[in-house]
Amino acid sequence: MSRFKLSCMQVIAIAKNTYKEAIRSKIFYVLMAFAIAMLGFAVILSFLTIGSQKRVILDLGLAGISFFSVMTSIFVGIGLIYLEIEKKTIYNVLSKPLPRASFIVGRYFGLMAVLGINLIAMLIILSIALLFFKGFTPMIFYAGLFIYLELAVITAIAIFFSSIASPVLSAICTLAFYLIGHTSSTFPEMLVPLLHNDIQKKIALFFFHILPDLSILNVSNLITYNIPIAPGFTIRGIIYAVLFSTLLIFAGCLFFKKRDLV
Amino acid sequence: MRSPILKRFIATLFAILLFFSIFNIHKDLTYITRIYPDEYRSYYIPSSLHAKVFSLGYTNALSDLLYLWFVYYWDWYGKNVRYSYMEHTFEVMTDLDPKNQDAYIIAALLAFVPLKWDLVYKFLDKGIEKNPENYVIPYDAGNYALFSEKNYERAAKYFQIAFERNPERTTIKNLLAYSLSHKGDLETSLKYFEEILDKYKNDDSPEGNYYRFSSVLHIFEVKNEIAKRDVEKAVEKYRAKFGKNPPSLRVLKKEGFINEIPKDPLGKDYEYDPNSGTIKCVSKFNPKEVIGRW
Repeated sequence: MSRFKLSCMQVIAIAKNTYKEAIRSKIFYVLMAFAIAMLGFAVILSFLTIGSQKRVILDLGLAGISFFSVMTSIFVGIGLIYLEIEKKTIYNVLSKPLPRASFIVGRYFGLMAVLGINLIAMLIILSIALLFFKGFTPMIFYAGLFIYLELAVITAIAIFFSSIASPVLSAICTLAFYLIGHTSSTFPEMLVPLLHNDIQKKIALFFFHILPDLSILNVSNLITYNIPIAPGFTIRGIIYAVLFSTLLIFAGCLFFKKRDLV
Repeated sequence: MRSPILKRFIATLFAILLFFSIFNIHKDLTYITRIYPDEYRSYYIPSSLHAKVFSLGYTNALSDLLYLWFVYYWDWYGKNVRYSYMEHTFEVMTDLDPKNQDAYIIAALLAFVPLKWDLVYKFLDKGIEKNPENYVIPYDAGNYALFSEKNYERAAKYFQIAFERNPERTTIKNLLAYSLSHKGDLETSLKYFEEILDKYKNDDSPEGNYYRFSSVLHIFEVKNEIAKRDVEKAVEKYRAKFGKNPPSLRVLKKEGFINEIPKDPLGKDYEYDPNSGTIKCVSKFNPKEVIGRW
């Protein structure tokens, strides 16, 4: 058996295990319940609106799905590595001929599988609500794809921090990453006009380009109004998310490899 | 040492007291806030830019929540501050989601109730600007201007925008032609009414009958208006030359101020009044005779 095939099998085994572990996690069900409650809330609010009910359900539904999926990704992801070390269960795994990188990658794919199932379930619930109001559009699954890309990045950052820090610190750092990712796009509009010096403006713009920008993975607003997504946007979005996640998982593997677990 | 039963009793009593205290304080606070003057109601909606940052990318969802709040609580505040609050909330929600057509339409409706025309048109103008393909918002603005404000120039301006964005909708064309006739652009109005009549010439559906009836009636009126205007202009020139009104339309033609003696749309002569220098249509026009009963 080739080394690559063996590594793949190891990653799949760990991913399966992570999937089972995460699906049993209470936080997963609590957040899913909140997400479903949010969808119900969107339907109730739609009755209060004057005008398009479909728009309210779609806007609040997609926002709720995205927000609670990200919260699931953060709060399940931050404990995946650290708690294994805390409970010392990681020694049972790492005592076997298994590269540490396979452990991190397996953990990542396992959690992504759980998040994928979670996301599909919520999108189906949203679709049923929209069908009921005759506002269903298959484009919500397109929005779901972009939510999943965002989850890929957020999960990667949660696993990265989980491999080097405690759950509390990981949660703070991942939430900070999420906040920066969703606010950095306002830099040119908000921060730059406040600066008077050209050098300061250039520095601000430099940070705008190097900081993560998760708003580029948000197409929900376009879906609501059936605005066509620009050609090449999806491909670029996928490449952006894959590269970002790969970089973070790679960095996580490096840190975890050098970490003294004894 | 107290017995466990006594401890439980004290704990239960304490819990009941706590519950009633909270209940009473809540009731009192509700009463106090209700008797506050309207001006003291707290209002804080951040600026559009801050709201964008705060929304974490879910701008449409935040805009929807603001819209719901706006619809239900816009009149919650004192009249001296109500409209500035209304304007600010509108700005924020439409900056967050510029494509929300309902926001423009309902905000304009709420501003229309107290006849705040400046706000009505400000809200709708923003919608027209931010949604260059939307014809409903200019159509709505045109309706306010035509039917409520009776400002025909403004109505024609908005219906023209709506017509350019959706030339297929006869309702818009019909109202545009009507506004233009009141504004004084009779030739363009006549052209549009004739186009509508041509479109529905052989259409016996309720819609077709309505537009045939409407256009036939308006063509009659607009043709009369054109004749009246032309005669008045000619009379004015005659008066400038001779110092008095012409005694008849024949004299007006003889002196070369008009090429032909105008006939009404049914082919009959107009009644000319030499004292006022105006003409009057005396034909009894029944559109049902022209288009048939429907």
